[in-house]
Amino acid sequence: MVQTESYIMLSIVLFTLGAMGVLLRRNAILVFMAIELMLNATNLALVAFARHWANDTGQLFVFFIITVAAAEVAVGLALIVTIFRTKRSINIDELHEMKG
Amino acid sequence: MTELWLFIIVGAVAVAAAVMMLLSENAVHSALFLIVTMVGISLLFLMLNSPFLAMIQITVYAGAIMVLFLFVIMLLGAEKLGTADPGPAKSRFRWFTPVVLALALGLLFTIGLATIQGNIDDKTPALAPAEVRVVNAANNGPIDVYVGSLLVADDLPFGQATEFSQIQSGQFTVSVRPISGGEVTAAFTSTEGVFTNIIAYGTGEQPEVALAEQDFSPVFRDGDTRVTIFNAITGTEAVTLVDAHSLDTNTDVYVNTIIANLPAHTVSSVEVPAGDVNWRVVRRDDASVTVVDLTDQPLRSEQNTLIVLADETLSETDSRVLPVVVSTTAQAEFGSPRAIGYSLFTQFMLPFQVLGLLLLAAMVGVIVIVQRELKPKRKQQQRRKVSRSLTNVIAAQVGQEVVEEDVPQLPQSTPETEAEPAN
Repeated sequence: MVQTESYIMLSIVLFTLGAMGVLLRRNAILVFMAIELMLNATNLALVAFARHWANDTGQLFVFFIITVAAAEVAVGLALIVTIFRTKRSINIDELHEMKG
Repeated sequence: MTELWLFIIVGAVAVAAAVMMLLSENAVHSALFLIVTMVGISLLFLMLNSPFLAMIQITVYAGAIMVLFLFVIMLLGAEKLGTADPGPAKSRFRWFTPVVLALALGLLFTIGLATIQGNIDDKTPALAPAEVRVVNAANNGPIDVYVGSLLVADDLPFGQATEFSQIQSGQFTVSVRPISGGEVTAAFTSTEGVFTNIIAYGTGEQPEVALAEQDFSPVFRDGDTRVTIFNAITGTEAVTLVDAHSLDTNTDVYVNTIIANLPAHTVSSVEVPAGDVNWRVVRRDDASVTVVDLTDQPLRSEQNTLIVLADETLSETDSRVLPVVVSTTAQAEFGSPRAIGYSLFTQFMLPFQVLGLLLLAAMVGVIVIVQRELKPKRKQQQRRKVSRSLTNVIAAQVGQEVVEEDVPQLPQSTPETEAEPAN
């Protein structure tokens, strides 16, 4: 049986990669995909913990996260399509109307 | 060992695909690499004993969500957009790369520190706690049963069984105390995840105690059910369990044997198709002697049945064998769709409903976002027509061709007050 720690390590690596993608890539769709990668990494950690404690609450949480991610992707991609239609670009460096 | 290698390979592929996703110039390639990572994670879910989530991961994530991504990438023609390096001088976020590097290094440092300081090693995963129940097949009155100092059965009459109760793992002394007085003890080592029946049996003044483990893991074939039988008949006689309807009248032999030669005071289990069964317990050496009949015994597929063949004293000289049947709903396996569904509809009913509302809100939200975007678009098209005729006028006056790319900027630079006199 592979130790829970190994899964957590892998989860951390994937989460870090996702975070780097969010910070480094300028394409809004790619930033979105990196966020999905981070969500997947947390899911992996939750399932590993669920097995560790023999408690399937963690698996229920993953079920909820996947559902919320589906909703989030639908809304987010609608926003990206809207932004692309108005600005003809999805480079997030060019989206600075909010002065953020 | 195989599982470790599998983990290493799947994990390496998932990480490599994630890295490739970040480095790909083409957004479509990135999406495809992300699908590889998600499939890898679903394999890890399988290895983590959650087949349901593995399937959800593939269908919802690698299927629905990634198709949505690919669709939007193709729709916008955004394969190459925003991927070109703006160059260090042009980028307004020059500080990002060092920050990311510092973050990654900090994370790695934290992991190392946690591994060294936090003693994160060699923890075996916890299993479900040990559980025990008491079956009283001793025909001399009610009994109290203690496991260590914990009372697990209080005044349990003959032929009855308690529910399973959780106990800690470790070594205990099981103490069976008949109401009539006296005490019988047995040594018991409880193990995590093991279900143990404490069976009191016998017809004497003091009962005897047997510890019989019961297997609640899923049966191999769907529609089957597991029956565990304990032979508590007084004496040393072994018995055989046969199908009462399978008697061959020519040879006087039962064709269909369920359990052959079950020795006295031992336990055996068998997986059989669920349904009403007509079984017969016969003597091992002489199949023509019926010990007891189990007529129309219902065996349901979701239940796990324990049958204790107990002696019941009818009078001082007469006794008969009475089957004590205890049916327990088999526990759904950890991580199985049934277990997830059970939790979802009991413990997590309210969050599930809220989630439904959230999805509804997201759906309405998407429609609103797209609609608010569509209405000004029509006005914009009208304005673009105006501005296009304007550009023609300007082009005719200047005598030069106006570049098409300048067109959207014109309404901003040319106020509408100026456009009206032109008409």
